[in-house]
Amino acid sequence: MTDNTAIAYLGKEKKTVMHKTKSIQIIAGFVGAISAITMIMGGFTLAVNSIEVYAIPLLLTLFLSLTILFFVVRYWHQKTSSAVFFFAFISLASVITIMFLPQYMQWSNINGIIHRSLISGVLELVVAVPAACYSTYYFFGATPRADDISRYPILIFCTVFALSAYAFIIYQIIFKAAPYLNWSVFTSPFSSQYRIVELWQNGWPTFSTQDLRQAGLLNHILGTLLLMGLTSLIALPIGVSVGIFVHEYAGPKLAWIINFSTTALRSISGVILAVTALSILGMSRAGTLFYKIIHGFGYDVNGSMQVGRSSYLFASVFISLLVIPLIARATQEGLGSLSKEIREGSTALGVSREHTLFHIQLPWSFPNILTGLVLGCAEAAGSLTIIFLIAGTGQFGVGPLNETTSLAYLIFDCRYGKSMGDQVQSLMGSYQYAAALVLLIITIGLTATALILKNKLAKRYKGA
Amino acid sequence: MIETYTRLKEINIDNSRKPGGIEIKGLEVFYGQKQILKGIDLVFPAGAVTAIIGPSGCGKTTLLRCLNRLNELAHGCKVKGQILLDNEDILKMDPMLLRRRIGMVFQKPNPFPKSIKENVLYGVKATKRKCDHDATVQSCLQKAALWDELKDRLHESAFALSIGQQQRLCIARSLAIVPEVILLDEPASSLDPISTMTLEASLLAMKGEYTQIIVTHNMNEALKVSDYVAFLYGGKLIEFGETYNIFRNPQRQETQDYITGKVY
Repeated sequence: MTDNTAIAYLGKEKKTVMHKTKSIQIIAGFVGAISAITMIMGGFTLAVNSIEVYAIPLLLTLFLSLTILFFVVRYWHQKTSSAVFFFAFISLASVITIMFLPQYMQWSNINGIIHRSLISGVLELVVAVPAACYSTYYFFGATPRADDISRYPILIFCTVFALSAYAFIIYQIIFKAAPYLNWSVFTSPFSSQYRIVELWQNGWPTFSTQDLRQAGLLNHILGTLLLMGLTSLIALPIGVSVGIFVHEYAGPKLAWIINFSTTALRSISGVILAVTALSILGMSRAGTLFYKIIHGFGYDVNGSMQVGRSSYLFASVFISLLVIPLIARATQEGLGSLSKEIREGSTALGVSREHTLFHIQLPWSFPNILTGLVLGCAEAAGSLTIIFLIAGTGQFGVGPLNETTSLAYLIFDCRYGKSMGDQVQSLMGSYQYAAALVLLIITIGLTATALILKNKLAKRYKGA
Repeated sequence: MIETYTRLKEINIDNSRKPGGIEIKGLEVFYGQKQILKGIDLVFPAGAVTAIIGPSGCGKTTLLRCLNRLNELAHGCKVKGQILLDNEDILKMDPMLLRRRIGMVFQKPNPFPKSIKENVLYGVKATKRKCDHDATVQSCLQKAALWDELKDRLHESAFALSIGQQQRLCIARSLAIVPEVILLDEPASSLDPISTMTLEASLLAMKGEYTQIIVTHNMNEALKVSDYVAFLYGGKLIEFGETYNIFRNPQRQETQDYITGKVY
């Protein structure tokens, strides 16, 4: 075969392979969609115990499409995809099993119905989940290294399982929060206050109270954001400085000691920090300025000062104790990933150490630092371990010196907290899932922003 | 401090430096207990290209890194003796100011994670030297034989270049600070033959404008590029002379053996 014919042959081969892949993908997408529907129906059947009538047509369709996929793969790949055949066989067996189940119902009514739907739900899931995994392989393709397709479905099974668990959690939160979502909850702060109203009756002053109690998430949302902001303000400069010091200036022994200490600090349980914070709060003398600053204070509707349990500033100092090691480690990793030659290249141009640090090394490690910061912010927003002992309702304003509160704390408070007697529970109890949803949105939004920023920064500063 | 400042100012004004000669007197270098260089006396003539040759581990790179005091960045390095740059002892100078007079090109290309233009101007901006930026970029890239290839992609990342282009960019970068001396530490060791040829051509074109000191393993390169050759062996200077003489009739047996490939 001459060179020219070889090239022509290769071109032709490539074209046909692409054509084949596309056809397989269409059929696999079809199988994937059917098995997704089957999975959902199976889940519903398990949950509701009554929708098993869909099982037979669904499983039959799944059987047919899996069979088609089997033959398509066999015809174009020239090899037998035994797993597809196996799943098709199981789905056929399931259809037959479910079709003959009514006889089993005759001698036991209620239990029969329940067992029947249980069995059909389980069967649907058993067939549909692996079928979905398998069609994922043909639909999305795989790396050339994953050529051995026999293991791909098993591995992706774990991924599908984990992701479906997350999907279930998000689904549950959204559906439980949905009935209570209204605009006023997000725009008004929680309040458990009564205004004292002075009335003149018969020439005499009498006092009555006006009920101002209301449910609201505004302060909790703003408080979460403030907590994140303050924590990053405190932890970012300190963490980056620690990272720079350890990587650039400290000798090996000192670096080891600092690394060990920060890791140890990081592994301290948040509860211990919380108890420490509580003891510091208890030590300060009532009435002093320091007392007010660490406890947080605000003014209620009647104009009298209310001292809280701890201020945002105090809480974020303690949270940043957990975040500083994260950022320091991230900075160190970022600095370490820059090659020694590039740093020496800058030094050899007669550039000062500081200029090299600020113009070469730190820009290079920005993406790493950003990752550390996002983890830290997620810690501040979602962690309860530090603030569950020191946070309060936070109804007297949001600011560095006001009483701490956060969405995570609210969720805890609705269930177990006794920060305001049972008032929080009775007013806010039904908004737990709304709070969880907002927390979820904040965290996911933060992560998404960070990912996009990280890619942009990496492109800009690493030239990748 | 004031002295440093005035010197800085002087250097900033001086945009056209003359090539500087380097004289080494009794140089001994220790890393911890280990002695790398054992008393070296050597003169690098101003404006000429001097090649340092010798087997691996004989102290070539150490000698080179002593000249711009990069060896001080390593732990436990001790230097004895005198190194004179235009009759000024560099061991008593501010290392930052010294390095602005001596450019260096490394074994592996090490462009900064920035655009091509920023790479060339990095030293200029960092040392706050006043000059026309665009003109500097153009002249430096022209000297490094890169301008024609890269004049339309100055804002692309330097990492997108080929290895040979990256190495020439590193040369352009060190030219931008207008050095008197350029140190080249096996600049062609990671390049393919064509890139090596281009690199050697640009080194030859710069002859006379800068004092060049090149460490190399490649006899061919030393023969093509250099005016003088210094042969180092076991931390000692064995022989120094004009390239032609060293290669044609070496005075010492070790040199003879090394050049003919008997000792490596």
